[in-house]
Amino acid sequence: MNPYPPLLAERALVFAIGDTEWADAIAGDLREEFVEMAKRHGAPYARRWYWGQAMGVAAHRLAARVRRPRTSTMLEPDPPDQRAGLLSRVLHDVRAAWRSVGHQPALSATVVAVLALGLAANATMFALADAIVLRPFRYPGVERAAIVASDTHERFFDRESVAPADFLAWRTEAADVFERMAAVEWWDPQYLPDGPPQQLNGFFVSPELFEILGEPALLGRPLLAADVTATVPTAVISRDFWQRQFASSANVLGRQLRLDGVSYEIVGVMPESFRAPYGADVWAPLRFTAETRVERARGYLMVVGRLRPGVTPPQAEQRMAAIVAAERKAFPETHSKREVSVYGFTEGFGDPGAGPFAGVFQIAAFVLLLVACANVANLLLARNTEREREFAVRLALGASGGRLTWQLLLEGVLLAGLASLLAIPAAWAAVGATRGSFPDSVIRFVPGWAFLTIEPRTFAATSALAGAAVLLFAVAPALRASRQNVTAGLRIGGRLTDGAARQRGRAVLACAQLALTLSLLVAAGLALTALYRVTEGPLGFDSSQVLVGRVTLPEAQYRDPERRRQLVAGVLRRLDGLPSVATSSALNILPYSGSDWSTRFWKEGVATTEKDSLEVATRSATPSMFAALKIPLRSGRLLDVTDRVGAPDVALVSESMAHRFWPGEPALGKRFRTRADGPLITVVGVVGDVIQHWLVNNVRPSIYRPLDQEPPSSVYFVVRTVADPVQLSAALRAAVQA
Amino acid sequence: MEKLTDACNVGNNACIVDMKPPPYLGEFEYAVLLAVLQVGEQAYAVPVREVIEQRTHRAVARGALYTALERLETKGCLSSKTGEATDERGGRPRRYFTVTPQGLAALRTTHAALRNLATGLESLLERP
Repeated sequence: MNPYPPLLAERALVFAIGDTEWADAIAGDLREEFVEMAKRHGAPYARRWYWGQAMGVAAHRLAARVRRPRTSTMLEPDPPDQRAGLLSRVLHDVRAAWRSVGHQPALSATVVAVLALGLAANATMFALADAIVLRPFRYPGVERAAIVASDTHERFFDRESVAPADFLAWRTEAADVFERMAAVEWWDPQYLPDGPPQQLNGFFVSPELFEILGEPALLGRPLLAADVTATVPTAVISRDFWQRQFASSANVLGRQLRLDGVSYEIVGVMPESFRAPYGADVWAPLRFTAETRVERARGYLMVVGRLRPGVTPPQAEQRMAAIVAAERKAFPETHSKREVSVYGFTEGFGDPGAGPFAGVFQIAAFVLLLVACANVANLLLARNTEREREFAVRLALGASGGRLTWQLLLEGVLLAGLASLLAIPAAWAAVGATRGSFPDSVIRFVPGWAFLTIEPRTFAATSALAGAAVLLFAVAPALRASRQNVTAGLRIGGRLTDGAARQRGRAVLACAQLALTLSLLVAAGLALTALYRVTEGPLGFDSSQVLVGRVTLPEAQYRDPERRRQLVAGVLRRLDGLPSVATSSALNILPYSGSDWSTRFWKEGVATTEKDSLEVATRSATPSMFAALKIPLRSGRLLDVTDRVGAPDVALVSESMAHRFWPGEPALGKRFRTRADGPLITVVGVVGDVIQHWLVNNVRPSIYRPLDQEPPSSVYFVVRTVADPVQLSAALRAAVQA
Repeated sequence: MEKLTDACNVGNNACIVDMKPPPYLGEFEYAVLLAVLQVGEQAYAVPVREVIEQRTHRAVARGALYTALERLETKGCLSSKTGEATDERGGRPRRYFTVTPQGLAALRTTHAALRNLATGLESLLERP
């Protein structure tokens, strides 16, 4: 079967030609050459070629029709031939409008530039909203994919919250609403290539995930059910990682990838658009051990399911709620607070901050366009004052008021059309600048970022907005012109100044413009202040002159906490030996990094049941961390080198934690537990709050435990330097590798 | 006034051509007419364009070619007929062009005019 040329281009071509016979001949010729081109260079190339040719021919034909010699003037009241087709009559009017626009080039250029600015701002924001809010995921199966989360009373919609035993049970219990279910566990393995070790964005996933999202592999295959039980561990990698690490080599399949000390055989490469979830570079099959299979207390899996046809997320949630209600009865120990929520994939995985964020900027862009429209309307009204005599002549020669209105509206459409043509390249540049200005570490958590570009639908939205703008700026001047007083306009030497009513109209427009501009300025100022706070503002710690390195300790080698302690102590000792290091320290979760770690929490005297547990953020840190990040002490003391394993269990708490759990009394000396069977931990100090998250959930009650007493499996080394921190990065890497 | 002129232009080609000397052709029109003659019976836009490109070693924009074909047809130098519709053309018929006697006359006039202009300059023009 022959490939098809782009339908839209063909339609546009046929429309531009107008004459049916010629349209058939030309479109047929192009299609014939398109088929030939597709055979020789492939369909994508041919389609691009077709767009170029069709638009070229259409422009030629339109230009030829507009240029067709005529002696008519702009004063001509009616099209030359009433029997002519609609298109040729419209073209006649367009020619007249074009001449009128060209008559005052400076004014027209100003109008076009002002409108283009407003439209470009809107197009940019629309592209952003479309990519990160409306359609952040574009997998074939995304419409029917849904995410299931185990909620508790405190934490609502925590994506990584499902316990393995629950997940395994749901697969059969919820089979009437979900065709398939897949679980995802955060992995982020350490990769040991020939060069320096790297941290990869990785996930253990049930192979069903690939089926649910419906995205085929670019090379090889996605993970299959057989991979879960295979003796040789297998993995699938992202196209980005494939390009970065294997230079897009075709024989990457079958090669070994050493992750966290285990060799994985690469069996597939996923296409660029597939990074689910969170910018994944590598996926390996999720395997349950005998231990994890029965784990009900700790929920750490993300669960994605494919809804049966016709089932909506709320219906699925209803079914799941019944299942979880039964679990609450069956497992009162662990499930007394368990709830469940089901969201569509886009809603569930979308960034919760993205909607309001994009909304605010879209509104600002829209206000900017309103200002531009008010401005342009004012300019057009002023210009119409100069054209009063022309309008009077037209009306006197028999043109109807409606016809005059139509002609002026057409001039508006032409101006808006030119403006949108100019707006698209401007928006293109703005989108490029936006893409370039965000660091990779942030982009990973912004789904849909990869799709941030100007698409045909952006163009369509901009055109629609331009149409709306025409209504805003051109209708009032056009209506006013058609209600012209013919006699006054024709009088030789008649007034060319504004009447009182018209002056009032323009004053109203000018006021509206000023009011909108002022509010926009204030809003823009506030937005900038907010942005400054987000990026540079007080975060509760000082990140200047600080170098950070992250190390994930392979579980196999570092299961013993003592080995983890030794590693951290060794690295810190080597770092302290470097001349430009002022303070070196280690902790498990970096403030303001987007990641978090939390624990259950019981005050002393509270029954240690699941029902009465609270949840707080928890950090393990070396004593020097507070100096390295300049987190201030409010009362009591900081951690000390004597707070090691074997010594009394102590902790620092954040200010907000002290206020929330011990309001009106000093927190010092208070005790709490973080495990039902764990020891009582004493609060020895209160430190300042640290802003943990970008835009959402910014201050969480936090506890800081001595790293020695709770050595984590993933460590950030935080080094305050006296020189440029970047110069020290090689030394930090060497200190870790030694 | 204008409408009268229009009517005459559109409806009365034959009378204008009969009464006036054949029109002088622009360079591109001249090339298009020659190419239509070169291709012969199967002359539609695609092979016409190929012939011009091959023989003049110059790229021809499709839009320009269609505009010229239409203009030549309006001037009475070309006539056209609709051919067969094929699948690979999406069911759209070809438009075949033939040079009319007026077109031939115009070609001869232009060709003679150019030749006259060149007379005596052969040694200069035909130097390799």
